[in-house]
Amino acid sequence: MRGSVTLVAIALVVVARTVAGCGEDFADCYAGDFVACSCADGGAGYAACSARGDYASSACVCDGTPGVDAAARGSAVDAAPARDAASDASACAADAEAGSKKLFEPCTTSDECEDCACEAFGARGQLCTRSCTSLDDCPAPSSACTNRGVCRPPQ
Amino acid sequence: MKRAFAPLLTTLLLFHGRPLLAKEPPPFPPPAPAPVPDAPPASGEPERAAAESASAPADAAKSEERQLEVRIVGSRADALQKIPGSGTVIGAKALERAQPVDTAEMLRRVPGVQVRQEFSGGSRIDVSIRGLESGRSRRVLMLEDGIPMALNPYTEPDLNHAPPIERYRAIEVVKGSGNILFGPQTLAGTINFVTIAPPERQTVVLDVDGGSYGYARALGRYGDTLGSARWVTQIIHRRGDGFRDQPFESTNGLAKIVFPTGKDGEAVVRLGFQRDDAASDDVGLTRDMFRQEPRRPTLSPSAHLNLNRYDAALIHEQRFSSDTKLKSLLYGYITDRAWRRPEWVRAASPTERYLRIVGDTSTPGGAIYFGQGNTVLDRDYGVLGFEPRLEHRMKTAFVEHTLDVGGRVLREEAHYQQRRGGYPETYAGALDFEQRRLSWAAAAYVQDRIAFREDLLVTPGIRLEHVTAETSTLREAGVDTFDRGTKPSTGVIPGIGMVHGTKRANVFGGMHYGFAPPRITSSVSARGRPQALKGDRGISYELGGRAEATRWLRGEATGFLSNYSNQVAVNPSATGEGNLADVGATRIAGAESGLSLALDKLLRLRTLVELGARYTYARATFRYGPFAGNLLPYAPEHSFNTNLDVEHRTGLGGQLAYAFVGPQFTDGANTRQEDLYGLVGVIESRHIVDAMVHYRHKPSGITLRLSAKNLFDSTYIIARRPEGIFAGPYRQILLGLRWEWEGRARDAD
Repeated sequence: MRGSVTLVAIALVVVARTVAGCGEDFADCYAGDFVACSCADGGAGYAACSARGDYASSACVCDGTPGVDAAARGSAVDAAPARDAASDASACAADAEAGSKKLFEPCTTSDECEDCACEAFGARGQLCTRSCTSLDDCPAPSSACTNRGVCRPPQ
Repeated sequence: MKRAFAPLLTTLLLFHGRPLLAKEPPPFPPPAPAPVPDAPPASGEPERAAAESASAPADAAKSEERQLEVRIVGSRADALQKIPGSGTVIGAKALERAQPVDTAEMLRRVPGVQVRQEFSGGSRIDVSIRGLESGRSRRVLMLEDGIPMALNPYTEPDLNHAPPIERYRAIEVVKGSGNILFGPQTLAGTINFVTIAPPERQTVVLDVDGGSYGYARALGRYGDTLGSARWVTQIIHRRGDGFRDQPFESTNGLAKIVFPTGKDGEAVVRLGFQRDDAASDDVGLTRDMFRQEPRRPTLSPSAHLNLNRYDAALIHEQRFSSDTKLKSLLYGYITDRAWRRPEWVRAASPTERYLRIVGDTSTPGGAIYFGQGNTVLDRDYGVLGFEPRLEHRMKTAFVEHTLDVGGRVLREEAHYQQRRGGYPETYAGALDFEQRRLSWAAAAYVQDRIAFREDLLVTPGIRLEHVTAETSTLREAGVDTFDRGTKPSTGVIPGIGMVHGTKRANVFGGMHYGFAPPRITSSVSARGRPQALKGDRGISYELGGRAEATRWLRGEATGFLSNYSNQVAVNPSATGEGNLADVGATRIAGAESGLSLALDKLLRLRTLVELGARYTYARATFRYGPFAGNLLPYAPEHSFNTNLDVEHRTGLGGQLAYAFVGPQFTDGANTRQEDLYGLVGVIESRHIVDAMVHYRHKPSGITLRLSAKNLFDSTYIIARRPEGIFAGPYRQILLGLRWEWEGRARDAD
């Protein structure tokens, strides 16, 4: 038994050393990413990820939150960005005569909703909703602005 | 809550004192005769046949019969013939041969079972049977030695830890009406993990693995006898860097002692714990991120999960005669889990300051904005149960009966706290939401296995389930409140199964009522609230056959149909808040098959060569409503897997395994086109090949093995939930070493 134990101990060391070197290197960041930084005046800014995949040489840009302007321009698309460009929502947004159904009324397409957004909410079925960035954008009785940027119907 | 379970643990610890000192030899009555005797040792099930083929030594078989854990199939040669429906046993030999890294590898070998397991991301295992929802294995009744494993078996039957395969010596799966002996869920199937058995002699096992992505695992096991008692203890630790840069550590411990409690009685005390410490995120890649770099690391590196689970069980068996025995289970377990998830949104606010932004900010909805704070989901669960199970054999005229009667009393509680943290890495934070839940459940069942003839078994049975869940919400939206509600639920679950034939070839059929109590579901949204759902209710039918055509060919095939009046499944809505929803009436129809080919016997080879293959077709569809006729989310229609095992007498062996999972949808509309977020769109089929070679040096007890998981390094989407695209595990190479030493039996010294 003593011989076996010695052999096992040696083998364990070999295996442990084999393990140590294995792994994968990931970039710190990817094209299009930003990280918060402080501007010279103490305000908030964002540094863009460099082509090398890091923030080391990135300047702190202080002209607002990246993507906020784009989001504002495309707010109608935001209502249902889970659909693609050819989605009901964007088609509805381009239509000057949006639907008449109000917030959280049952719907089948976005065309029917005054906010051009008809979404399915589990057992409640499909309801008219509205794009949002915070609960402030969602009138009562909405209970939340979801992670996906639409107002959640009351529970 | 922990205090409430302390007496149980203390009682169990004290209880073993006297029997340990007992001097009388353990009396074990001979196993009762099988009601349908049939000489050839055949099992109708391919994998079991592969596992427990003629090489199983007689003493091992004897030892197997002496184990006291609750078995849902059993280890006798005719066990599968006796269960009223389809079943599978993966035995110790199959486990030893496959040298699996995780439990999923073995469960894939069961026809009709779909499984996904990851150690990183929170040590998760998702199992589904016959097209049911797989998340956290919540639609399958998961048992360990017959004892429930879920957080709260009635109201939150999620498995939030992945039990390590090294803890088990067998896995049993029962589908069809055989489910009614176990509950509370009697939907498509029951999986029972049978823990390692205390050995008859001094035994030592040391086992280490290491490999890519910083994976390392160490196992130590020691077992021995003490007087008439046998005991074993084991500890496993594994760690890794994770495929997506999500480090994890997991430790699992088990101690078990078996001792006599008198002339015709024996007991098992089992203690265990698991601790997980892992990065665990809730947001995956967007469509464009995945296209740009599918192997991008986690977007949310500060998301993290801690889980601690402690369990204790006492299983006692008393034989009153050769025809009557009573098995009693007393068990308790507590789980505490804290999960912190950084705040994020897909639509930015100009007034917010974000810590990080990832993705494409030039496209609305193309980026993810990580905020300053987080949400901490802090939850404690406790379960205490008692189950007597009586088996009695009798004869009326020419008909033999095996009567199973039993019940369960179970108390379960949960304490939810949701806190709003001020920075992503904190587990503190201000209390936003608090809820307590207490449930009492009672169940009873009776089943009679009636042997009209040696080749005809009819097994009717009925199960009653009742649970009353009381929920008290103490804080809501950061404001103290008191809102109490009570919700009772009752299920009457009849079932009947029939088997006609011998152990070598038989046909079986059955039907049973599928039931699962109403449950609580978590919200996807970090700020969301847990929501109550209705239960599952439906009727399931199955018809199949299994046969051992020759010494080298065994097979089985089963057709199944389940009609649910309500099913809880993945929210079919792309923007739904809950990760689960009552999706209404559904139908699941399909067939599963398995084949085992012993090439060594066919070709008269001296080297063991076995081929196993399984194919499952399951079509799970909505019956009514806007999605009528569409497939349920995350329910692939086709799956196939096969494995080739080779074992040479020199100790050299190996295994090649291939698994295919067909395409599946992620929403009720069955949308093919991928959306911007990555939430919706078809998940394409995947093909995974695993390979393993080993060399076992019998004189020293040393085994060296080299294995490759996902050998061809396929990159594939495994899920689009809870929020975005998650890729499956990449290629992982593992080198392992095992040493086993077994002393002489004490009485031989």
